Amino acid sequence: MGIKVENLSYSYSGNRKGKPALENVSLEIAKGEFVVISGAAGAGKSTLIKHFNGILHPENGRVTVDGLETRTREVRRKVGMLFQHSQNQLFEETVYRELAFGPSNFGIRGEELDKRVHEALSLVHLDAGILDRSPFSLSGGEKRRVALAGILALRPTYLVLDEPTAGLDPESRAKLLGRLQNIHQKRVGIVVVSHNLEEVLPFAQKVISMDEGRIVFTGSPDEYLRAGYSPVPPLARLMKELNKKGADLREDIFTAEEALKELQKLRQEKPERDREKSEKGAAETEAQDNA
Amino acid sequence: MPETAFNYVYGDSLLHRLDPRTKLAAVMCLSILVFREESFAGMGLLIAFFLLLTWISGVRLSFLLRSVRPLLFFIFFIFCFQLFATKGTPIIPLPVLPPSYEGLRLGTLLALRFGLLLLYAALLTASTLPSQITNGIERLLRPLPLRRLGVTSFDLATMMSLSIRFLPSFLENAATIRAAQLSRGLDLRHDLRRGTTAIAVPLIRRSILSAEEVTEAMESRCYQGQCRTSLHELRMQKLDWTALLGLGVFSLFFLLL
Amino acid sequence: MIRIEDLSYNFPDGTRGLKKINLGIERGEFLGIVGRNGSGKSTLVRHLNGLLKPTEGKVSINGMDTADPSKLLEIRQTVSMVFQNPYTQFVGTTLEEDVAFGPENLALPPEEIRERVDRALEVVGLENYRNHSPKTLSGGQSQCAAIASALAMKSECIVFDEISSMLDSRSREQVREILRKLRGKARTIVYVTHRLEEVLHADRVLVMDRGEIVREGSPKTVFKAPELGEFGLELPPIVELLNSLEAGGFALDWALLASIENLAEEIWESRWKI
Repeated sequence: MGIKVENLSYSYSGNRKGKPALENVSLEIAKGEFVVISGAAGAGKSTLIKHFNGILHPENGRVTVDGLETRTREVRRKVGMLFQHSQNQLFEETVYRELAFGPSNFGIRGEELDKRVHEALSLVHLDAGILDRSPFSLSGGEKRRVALAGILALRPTYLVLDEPTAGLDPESRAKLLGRLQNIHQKRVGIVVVSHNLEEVLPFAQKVISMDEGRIVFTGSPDEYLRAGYSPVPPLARLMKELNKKGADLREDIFTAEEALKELQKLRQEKPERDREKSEKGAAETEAQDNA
Repeated sequence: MPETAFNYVYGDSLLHRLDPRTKLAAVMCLSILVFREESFAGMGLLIAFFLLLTWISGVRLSFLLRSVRPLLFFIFFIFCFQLFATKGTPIIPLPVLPPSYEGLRLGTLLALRFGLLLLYAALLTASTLPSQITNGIERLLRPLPLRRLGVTSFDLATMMSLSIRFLPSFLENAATIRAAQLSRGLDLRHDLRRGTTAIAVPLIRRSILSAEEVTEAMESRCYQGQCRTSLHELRMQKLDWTALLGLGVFSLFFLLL
Repeated sequence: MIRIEDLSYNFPDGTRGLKKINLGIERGEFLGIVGRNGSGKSTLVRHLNGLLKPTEGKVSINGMDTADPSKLLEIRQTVSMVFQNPYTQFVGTTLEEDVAFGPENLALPPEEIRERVDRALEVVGLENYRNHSPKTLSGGQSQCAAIASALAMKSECIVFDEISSMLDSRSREQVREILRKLRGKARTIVYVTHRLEEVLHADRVLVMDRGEIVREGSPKTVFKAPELGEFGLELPPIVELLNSLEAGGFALDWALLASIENLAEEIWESRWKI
């Protein structure tokens, strides 16, 4: 079970002689897992996820979702997919119809449909009062939440998001990631594609890193940071630098609080000798200045 | 990124170095010749001339042929239409719409005409940067009294180059929006009308938004559509006059034949 | 060089965009403007080159009123702008043409345009990409191209409107590197962002919320204000760490933030102070 990709290769048609967009990619995403796919622009992340719900079909290799071939229509419901700039996909007259669009495409009607719409709305923390409004009258942030709710109304088993934090301010980003965490707790598998790794890393259980159409790393966030793939967030880099000097600190540090706790371990290491050394150091620089 | 037809091919051939105005004039002139030509011999000569120019340009023939491919169906349709609809001596006696020898001749000629027209156009775009083409058109239009219509030749040229510049982004947006709606369960085969709105509405809104952003960027850089200069000011060289003279002689010779 | 007096702005649909803004920007200053999405930062900076006109109040650039249409061209030569979206501000079909677009509009002679284009591309390190089309450039390169296009205008002031918000961390670093180069050449820089770490070294920082300036001062004082969260902002964790260390009696110089290696060195050497 889960999303299974085996030896997937893909190149955009007309570009057959050029480099393929994906080359022999294999991976597995288990049910209920929180996975981050990272890599620079053009590494093949977007091409890869479009295979998860059958927007693209493998040229070579095989992709299955819970054992189903991705040509099956059911896969589109199981794998909810939110593309970048999701605010651009809205088109209905009201928010209600926008949220109902997905489920009704799968034949859900009446009370069940209504239930789904309200459920999805509450998952993104929007008020029911918004349902009668035109999606175009909403702010940018609200539009994105409506777009997300439109996917959640499908009750997907897996939720795939392409650069969901792009352009969001810190507050909206933190809220979005909090919501994703809540959704994850409901046993929905989450796949986030991001080139701003430091933002999503704290939430991930698994990191997949891509480069030029291949997978170059699969492992836990801690392993990822230790493996030294750049870019590493500043705090983790600080810890790494201190470790080079002889400290033994955790490197998967994302908040100031955690960092402070780690740094306090350093304090207990023989403060006396350090004081002497640092005073000596200060005296030396003073001497140099005088000279 | 999928390769599209009518792309520029980097090069430094004689053809690449010609002034875009020379090349535009040549393509216009050759198009007239292609359209007037009724004989296979003449067509053959124009094809030979095309091959000669292609050889000079250093562009691969297969690359130019690819530009014709999207319209191949259309050309084939014209061919078939002529073949079956033209009255004359039947090739095979069918009760309705028998293919005729006259139709075969006319159809082949028309198909060649369209094909050759496209190929000459492809040769132009392959050897001339899009901006140079618009630049050339702008210079050719400049003497016209367009200002009275409320536009300037600069406006027209900028509009053209912006369209060329933003066509790929437009297609890309269309593809992304289509993928997004398919992901929401849209079934284009079952509900085409709804599907069209689901794709067209966001696409139009997105395009308007991009247009607004481009406008801001252009205004911020002092665009006003009045008087502009160009990084590549066009200057007719001796080479251009020679080429035009050669073309004139070729056309005259061709028409008199 | 820039003076804003009692500026208020309402959007065409009637909603309030800016409320009674008063602000002066000095020549050569690096001014950071931060705030959440929709706080009015972009609306404010669009007044600096006359893209928007005040509903009330006055904006003047070197004494020229932005509401005066006859001064608009000169104002836009004085204040140029780099926008958020790397691709929709790319007007030309190649990089070189894009950079040339501004000078062409000024009707400069071709030789001068050529010189400005070459110089600008050199500054951002894209001289080898001059014939590339925007789709072959990465987001970061595209944004550097936009900076080159602004430089080619030879303006006194450049406004950067959230130029990093659509970039990945590597491209952000690339853009920041160029900004460092641009600073201090008697060029005024107005830098809008919601990433506080990008304005740590600004001369002055403004915090905006709901169309008003709610905090103003040096980065060090503004970033110590405990209520930043209320304005939808978030201190970079590493700055927060320095703040907590300082609260515990271990003050570190912010200049060290420019290099994590040096910061680690300093912390390691004085770790008894933690």
